[in-house]
Amino acid sequence: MTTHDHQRIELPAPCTGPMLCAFGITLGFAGIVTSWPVAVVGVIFALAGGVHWWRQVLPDPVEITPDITVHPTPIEPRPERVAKLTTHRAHRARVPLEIHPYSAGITGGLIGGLVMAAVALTGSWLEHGSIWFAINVMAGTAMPSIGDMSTEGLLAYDASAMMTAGTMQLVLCLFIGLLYGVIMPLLPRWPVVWGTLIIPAVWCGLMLAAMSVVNPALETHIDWTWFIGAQVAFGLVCSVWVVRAEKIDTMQHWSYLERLGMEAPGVQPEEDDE
Amino acid sequence: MSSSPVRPDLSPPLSRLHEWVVTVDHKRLGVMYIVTGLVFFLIGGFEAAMMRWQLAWPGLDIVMPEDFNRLFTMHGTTMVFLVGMPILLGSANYLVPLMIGTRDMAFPRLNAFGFWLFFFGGALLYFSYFGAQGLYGMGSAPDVGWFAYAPLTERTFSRGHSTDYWILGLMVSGFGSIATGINLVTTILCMRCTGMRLMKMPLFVWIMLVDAILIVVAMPPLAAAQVMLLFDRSLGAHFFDVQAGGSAVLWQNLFWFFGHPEVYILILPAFAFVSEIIPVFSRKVLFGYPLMVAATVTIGFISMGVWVHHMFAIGLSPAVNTLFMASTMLIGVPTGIKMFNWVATMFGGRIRLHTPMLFSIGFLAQFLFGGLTGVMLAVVPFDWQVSDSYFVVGHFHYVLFGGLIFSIFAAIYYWFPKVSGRMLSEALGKWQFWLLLIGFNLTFGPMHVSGMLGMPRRIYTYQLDRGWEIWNLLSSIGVLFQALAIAFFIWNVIRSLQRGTPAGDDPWDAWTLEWSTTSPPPAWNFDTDPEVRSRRPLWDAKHPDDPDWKYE
Amino acid sequence: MSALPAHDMPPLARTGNLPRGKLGVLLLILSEVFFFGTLIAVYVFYIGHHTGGPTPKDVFDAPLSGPTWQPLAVSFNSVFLLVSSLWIVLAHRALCRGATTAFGFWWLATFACGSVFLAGTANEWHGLIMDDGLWMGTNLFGSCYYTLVGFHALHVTAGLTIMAIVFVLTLAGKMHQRHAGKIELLSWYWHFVDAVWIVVFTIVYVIGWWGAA
Repeated sequence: MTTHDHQRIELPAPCTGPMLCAFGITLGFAGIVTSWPVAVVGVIFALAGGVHWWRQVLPDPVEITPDITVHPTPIEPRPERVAKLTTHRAHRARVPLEIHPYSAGITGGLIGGLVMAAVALTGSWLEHGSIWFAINVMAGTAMPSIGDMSTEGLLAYDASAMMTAGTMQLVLCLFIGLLYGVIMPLLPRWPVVWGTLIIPAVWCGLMLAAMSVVNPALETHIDWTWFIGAQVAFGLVCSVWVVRAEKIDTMQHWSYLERLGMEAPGVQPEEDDE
Repeated sequence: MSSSPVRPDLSPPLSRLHEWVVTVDHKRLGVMYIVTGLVFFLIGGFEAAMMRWQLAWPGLDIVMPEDFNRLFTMHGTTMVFLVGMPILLGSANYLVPLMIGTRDMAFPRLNAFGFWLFFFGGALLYFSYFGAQGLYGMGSAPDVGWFAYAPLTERTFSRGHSTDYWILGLMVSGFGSIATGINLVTTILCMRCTGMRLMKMPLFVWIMLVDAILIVVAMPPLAAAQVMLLFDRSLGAHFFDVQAGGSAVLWQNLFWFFGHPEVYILILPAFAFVSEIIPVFSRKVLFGYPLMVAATVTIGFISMGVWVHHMFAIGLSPAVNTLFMASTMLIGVPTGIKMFNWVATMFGGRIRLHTPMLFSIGFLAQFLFGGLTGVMLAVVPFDWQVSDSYFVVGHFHYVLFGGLIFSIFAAIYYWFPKVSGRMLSEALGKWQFWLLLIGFNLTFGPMHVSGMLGMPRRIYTYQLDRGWEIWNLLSSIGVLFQALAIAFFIWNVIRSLQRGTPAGDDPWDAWTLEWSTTSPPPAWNFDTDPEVRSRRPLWDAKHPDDPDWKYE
Repeated sequence: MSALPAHDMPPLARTGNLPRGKLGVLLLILSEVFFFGTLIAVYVFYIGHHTGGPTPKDVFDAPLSGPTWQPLAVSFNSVFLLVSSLWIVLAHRALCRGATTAFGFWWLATFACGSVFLAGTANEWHGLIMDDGLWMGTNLFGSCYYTLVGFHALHVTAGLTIMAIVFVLTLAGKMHQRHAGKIELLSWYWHFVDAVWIVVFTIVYVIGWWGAA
């Protein structure tokens, strides 16, 4: 930067006019809420400021030339190289890169559902002396009439409640198992801990909060210890089952030829690091 | 500086004061704008603290009911017109000429005029505390709320002159804002340095361009409405006098036709600040620049067509409500684009968590929260439920405090070294950030709950058995944290001005033109006229092996 | 910032040279458009909303100081304002040529026509106030009418004041060819005031008179 003396720098000269004019205008308006002499003084100020301002701009603006005394440090090129985003296998990939087969989730859900039912029925038998209690209460989610039943009624076998609860258990476990299969590869670090503790904890918390709306019958009769135990049992069985299944690649970073199954020299990228 | 008009006949402090009073230098005017804004910020904050103290527990008698009305009116008016506006105009004033590589604004004297109109207008508004005859026959500030709904503002209900002070003070400072808005647009369109085409401007400048255009078109309708109100009050006109055929709803329409663009006028500068800060502290170029420009322009347009969402609860026709509900939701789209682009800028970057970046991240999180409650409020049935409740108060404080004020602090920590030549203390800055973050969320988070529980805004006290006590107490406790944070900030500024680390020209290793000159910049800004080939001219100079213009 | 080898760099883009004075005045006019737009919208919104007379029909139809129908009198008056826009163009062209005497003549013509218009408005107001008893506080029509027409008259007055100053400068021999650019800006403002009047006239004396039966 050695060319600064070639340029003649001109800056607008300082000017009192704008400030005086603004002050006058404000006083002029303030006159409306105070008294007219204030407005008169304001108008005088505004005119004086305005005239001063105009005389600085017209016919030609008054300018000053500053003495250039300080200079910025010149910008030096940086020695270090620019880091680029390098593309690798996971760049812009849709996670997860590898998934468990969906079938693992479905079977895991079914097995987990059996274990869960076993735990719940055990609890029902130990607490109430009847395995039908848990089944009836569960059916109450879909059958409002269960809510009106007496405790004796809840302890007895009821065919429609059995059908309802069985269907619900089958469908729910199937879908939640599928869900486990899909999200297990997404969970960080210890998927089984997530599946066994954290997901059931969130689910139970949600149920605890929403139960009075979803199933009032269940809320009055539910035994939370066994309920949570059953959920944890399902989570443990299902997540262990899913994690045991071998992972398969989503193939999203494979080339078209690879996905077609071509095996020929040059189709597969060469692995540098292995 | 040799350009300063030194008056040897004045004593040194007076001479310095004289220099500042007569200056037309955009940097000094910018500093004056911001300092005035921060002083008003303290005043407005004090008013808010008084209200929180009064509301901390049911049945308190800290302030009188009529004083409470003045407090919330003056708090709102101050924060919008005397804090948000000057700080945004000041930072645009200071930075735009530096960023586009010119020596001053297009109309330097008009610039000074705009500042002084704002300054005296604000002074006139606050003079009402001493000068105005209020409803109760004593000195009185305006007490009609910051949006001053008719017919409460009519002479029948608002005796004395306090409402007139509100009209006149805001009108005068509004003229100043229009003047500065015209100046900014002209500066940006006419004064760019060689090579800086519109699409090579820093995004800050783009956003300020849209912002200034919004100021130019949104302030005149407010002035017109205020003139009509003034005529109603002083000449006996009937514009908002319902008994003579006038319409109170018309005032609401006119006010919000200004008022909603005004909200975007206030929040756009926050976008401008973080759009400069996040790339520098992520060491990456801003993600999606063209889309950011398009989103800014779109926000500018849509913001002119959403004002009725402030009036959902007054009984307009379902068709009107639905239309404005749709337009209000539409504005979430460009705003969402911006959010995603900021996050995408940070993604994969080498993030440096200095104080400006901390405040920017705080902005992102809190503005997102405020934006989402905004989308909730856009839904007419939900709005009916919580209209005029503390939920609304919580919503717009998340946007304007959690969004705007946090970004302003980010900007202050980022550009203070350029303005003063000294760094602000990082340690004190982090104390301030965390205290403010905790205090802010503690104060305004619970307001959503108290609002949902039915607590109306602007009430002076409430009964014990409403279930609002704990939420109000929490809100009030948050104020203590915020006050402490602001104390840290003030201490940081005072300490750093005296013995902060010298900043050097470019302390953050940034890329826009203001960092190529000295800190503080000389009166003439640049020794030679800058030449620009990309959006990051300093990057090009620092990395000649890999300049940006190869990619843009 | 010139560490790059010159052959490598793309040529600098041209940034154009928009004249800042013109843009500034255009923006001022834009903000005025929104100001008058608000007043006009309010006027239109309130047509026929007044409770109690005198109505627009009362004051415009009744002969005031002569057997004239008011809109006709105002149209006659408006011609002076519209014509003054023509004179100011001629004045500007004269100054561009450097013909200061011709400039002074056309400038005076502009000023005179503008003054006739303003005097006409004053006369009209005098009649409305004295004969019809219509003022701001009389009814909603009065409020709207005086605000809208009054703000237009205020802008005419501001223009005339600046014109008077320029005329004095011309007499003093201080106006030269190089000031033509600034005169052009002034003429833009004057055209704007003119254009606003066309809208105001249509709204107040045609639609307002006809719509508020």
